[in-house]
Amino acid sequence: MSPTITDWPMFALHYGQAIPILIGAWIIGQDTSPGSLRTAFLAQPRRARLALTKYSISVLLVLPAAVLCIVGACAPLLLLNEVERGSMTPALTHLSWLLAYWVLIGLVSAGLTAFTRSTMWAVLPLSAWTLGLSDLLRSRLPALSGAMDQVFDDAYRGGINLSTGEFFSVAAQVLIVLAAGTAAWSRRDAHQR
Amino acid sequence: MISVDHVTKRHRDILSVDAVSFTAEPGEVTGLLGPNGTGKSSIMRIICDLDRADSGSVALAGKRYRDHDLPLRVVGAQFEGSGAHPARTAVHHLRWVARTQRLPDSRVAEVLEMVGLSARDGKRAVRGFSLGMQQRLGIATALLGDPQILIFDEPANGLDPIGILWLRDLVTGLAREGRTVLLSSHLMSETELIADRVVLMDGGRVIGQGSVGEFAAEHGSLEKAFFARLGTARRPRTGASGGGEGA
Repeated sequence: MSPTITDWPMFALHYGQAIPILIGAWIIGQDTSPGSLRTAFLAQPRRARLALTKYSISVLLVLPAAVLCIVGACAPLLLLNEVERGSMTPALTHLSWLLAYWVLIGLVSAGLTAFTRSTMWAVLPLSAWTLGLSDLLRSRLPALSGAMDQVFDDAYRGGINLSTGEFFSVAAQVLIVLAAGTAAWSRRDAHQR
Repeated sequence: MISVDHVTKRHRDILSVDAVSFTAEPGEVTGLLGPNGTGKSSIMRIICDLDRADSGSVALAGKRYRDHDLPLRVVGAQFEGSGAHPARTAVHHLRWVARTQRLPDSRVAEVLEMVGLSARDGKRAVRGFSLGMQQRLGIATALLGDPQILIFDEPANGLDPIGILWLRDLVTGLAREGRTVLLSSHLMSETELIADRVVLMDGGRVIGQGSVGEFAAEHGSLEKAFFARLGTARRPRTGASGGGEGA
């Protein structure tokens, strides 16, 4: 069965998740190549400050990218009047939550890159989870999927129905990733390049 | 002035730096001299806050490295290679470093000229640079902030004979301008030509320090002085030999 015009927004929004993942990993990861991380630390020895600046830049880049992707994804429907007038307000509210979700994904990607000091080890697992492998892992590793779902699926699918407890759970887990990333990034050891 | 006071660093079961103390004075080239894996790079990394000492303290112009607001204006450091992202051009690399220290972009062209890299070289991606050009770019980055303290880790690596001659003139010239220059090397004859004072190291420990002239007068050459000290000072360290040099 060929996809219809109404499938396009979901397809674009689903695979658009790669954008915040790549932005977060890129902003931190551009200084993990041999030597350049050392130069960055020499220029700004207050490493936590450097990490926070990079997280902020990630957010500033993810937000407009998310807006562009969401507008681009929904444009065909709006242009073809496929959306009922009455459904616009809840849809927009849900999309605003999606915007926040993208920011969180970008921050998790940045934090994971800082923690592993490797772009690959942030992009691969996050992409695999958010873009398609999650179903496979869910069937094989139910315990793991439970933990991961709390971070990603609740945020993505819960939308405006996310309870306060769930919201704080997601926020706490994102903060833990950021804190672990910042701590690993700030560690002064002999194995840094 | 660089002041290193009883700095000790252990990497797992290896004592890489063992209660090292020395000072590097303005207007002098101080050489850290010793075989590979003897803790020279570890000390330099600790001085620049890239590594954490287990005990002891370091002061650069009276403060820790991290306590300087714009550190590259006070301390210029060159470690192995260029320190640049391989995909960036030399100019772009120097420009972002300059901006972090609130230096004008015009300073980039000045330091490229100082290290003998042409404007055309500056527009090339660093991944295409030879080892010698990467060393020159690393030195250019160190000179960017016109700092009073300069730290060079094995700066002669990868340089051809003409490059080594150029480096010798550059380093001695910087010291003559009143700057504090600390360099590490395992090349004794080269260090004898460049340095005013040397700190002889082996097994993470200082086995002697003083002026090059004093060592030469006592033993005939710096090399002979080093091996004379080595014979009396060497003692086994815990674990395998080698410290942070290759880290």
